[in-house]
Amino acid sequence: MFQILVVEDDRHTAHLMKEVLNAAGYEVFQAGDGLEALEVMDHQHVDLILLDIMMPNMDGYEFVETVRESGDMIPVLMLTAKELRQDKIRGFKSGVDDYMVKPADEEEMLLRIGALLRRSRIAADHILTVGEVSLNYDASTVTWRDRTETIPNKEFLLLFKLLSYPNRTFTRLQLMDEIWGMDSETDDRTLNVHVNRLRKRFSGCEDFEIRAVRGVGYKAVICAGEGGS
Amino acid sequence: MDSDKESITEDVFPGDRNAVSEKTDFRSEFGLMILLVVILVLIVAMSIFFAFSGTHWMMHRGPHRHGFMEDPVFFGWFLRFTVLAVLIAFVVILIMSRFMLKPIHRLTAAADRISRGDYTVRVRESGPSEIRRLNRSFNHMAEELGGVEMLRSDFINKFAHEFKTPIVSIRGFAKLLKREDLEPGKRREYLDIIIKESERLAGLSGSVLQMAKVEKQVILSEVAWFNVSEQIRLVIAQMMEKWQQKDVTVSMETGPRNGPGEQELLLTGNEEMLRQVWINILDNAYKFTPAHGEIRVYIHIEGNIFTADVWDSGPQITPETAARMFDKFYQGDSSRATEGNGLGLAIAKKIVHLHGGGIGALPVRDGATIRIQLPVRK
Repeated sequence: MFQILVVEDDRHTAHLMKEVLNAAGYEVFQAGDGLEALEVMDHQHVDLILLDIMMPNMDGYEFVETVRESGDMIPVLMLTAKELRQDKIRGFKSGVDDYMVKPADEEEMLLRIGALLRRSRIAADHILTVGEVSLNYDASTVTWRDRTETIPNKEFLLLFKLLSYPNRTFTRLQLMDEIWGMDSETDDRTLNVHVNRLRKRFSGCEDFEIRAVRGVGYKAVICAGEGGS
Repeated sequence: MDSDKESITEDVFPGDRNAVSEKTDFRSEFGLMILLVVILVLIVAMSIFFAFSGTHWMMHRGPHRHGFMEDPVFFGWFLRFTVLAVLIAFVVILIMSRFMLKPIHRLTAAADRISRGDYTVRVRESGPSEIRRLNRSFNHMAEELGGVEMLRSDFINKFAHEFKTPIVSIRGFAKLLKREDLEPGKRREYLDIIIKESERLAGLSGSVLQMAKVEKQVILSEVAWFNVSEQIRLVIAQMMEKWQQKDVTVSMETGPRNGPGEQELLLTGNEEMLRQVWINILDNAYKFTPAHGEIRVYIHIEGNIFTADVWDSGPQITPETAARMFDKFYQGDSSRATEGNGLGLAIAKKIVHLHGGGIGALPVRDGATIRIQLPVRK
């Protein structure tokens, strides 16, 4: 069971978060401000932090900066009423992994927490698993139906990226910039070719599917079990 | 000088005579200007006098050789000249204050009036050309301020109403829910209403913040070239993550339709604001798209006009709706009734207009299209 630390000074909000998270199967610890939160983290292992910004004694920004300074890469989801662009930018600069504006949809919050926990595990283990398919980042290998094979680097990176963020659409430019680099000479066709190769390679796979959103980009959709779209 | 003050009062605040006297600094009427003028005139008079009499004295110097200040004739003339110089100085001051200082005082008094919230004040556009231009600008400013003020109070009233209405429902139905003998059907109904009204409130605060930011702008700031094709793609990608419930198919096409064209279109504008336009329009489209429906975005540049058409497979937009859907707080008629808060399209319209563009609903046979056009500046 994952353990989540909720850092929030408003009683009712904190209570609501606890109820929602418990119902979703998480164990919840609470703190009323940054200082208390640091104390909790001293005695208790925590997998993810749900953090408000406006709190007494030590606000959200300061807390995250302190945590990151000590080298801790624990995933942090900032959940706050502050919604201006500069607040978001400041949040990301101080080291949060995701940012949601209050009042947030509880379902969306749970989805994001799930995604953060998943990516944090991938970051720690360097292994990504979807159904029967497992990608090993360090070895650039894919294990599927008891067979492990090495696939070309660019194909691997593309698949890894798409599967790290299931159901999220990435534009062609985004994918080309990230995988081939911003200065590279590749064009649209290279990306198309790589996507097609991946589709062919995993055509028999029932765990995921790479879908094109016409004119926009590509996304990996998880089939059966986790619900597709 | 008193007559001066009275005429200022008449020009600026008809009937209100007291306002000026408490505000006008009497000392300012006899300030630096006067001192300078007096000194200037005295110097000029003295120089003329000395030049004149010096020559005269030198030509008619007596054998006594006493200083010229002791010479009674000389001194007499000196005195007369001084008095004349001072009199001239006063005359000059009077003239100057009539033509220069008075308009400035008038304007100062009017500005004070504006700072106290009275935007009806205007100043006469007369006098030397610079003063006339200054006064005209002032009047224009007062007019703009007056307009904005009206918008603001109208907006505040509407907003207060939009804010209070959901609260009435939430509180009311919550109280009803405390009843022990409530049938389960009603219980579910009331809870759904509370949830819906809460979401309305949630959206409202975000929209109002946007609206406030955008409403008071007259000049567009932070204008730069940017890739609008990629911007729209990124917005679509981002919004699709939230669009899981309805299984809507989204696609985008970059024109021209009759042949291959440039896929990356560039525009000048405020990138952040335009991003909000796409978000609001797409949000609106999604609201009306039925489950398993479709949203299509088509963009192209022709000449120096950029066009973006956002089509959704939802109900058509009637001409009546089309005329009013971009108004603030418009909630739509029954054909496109929404649980939104009616500000998204109004904000989009304001931003588009700030960019010198246009926005409107296109008549289409099925579904609904909203078209946005923006100028492409070279």
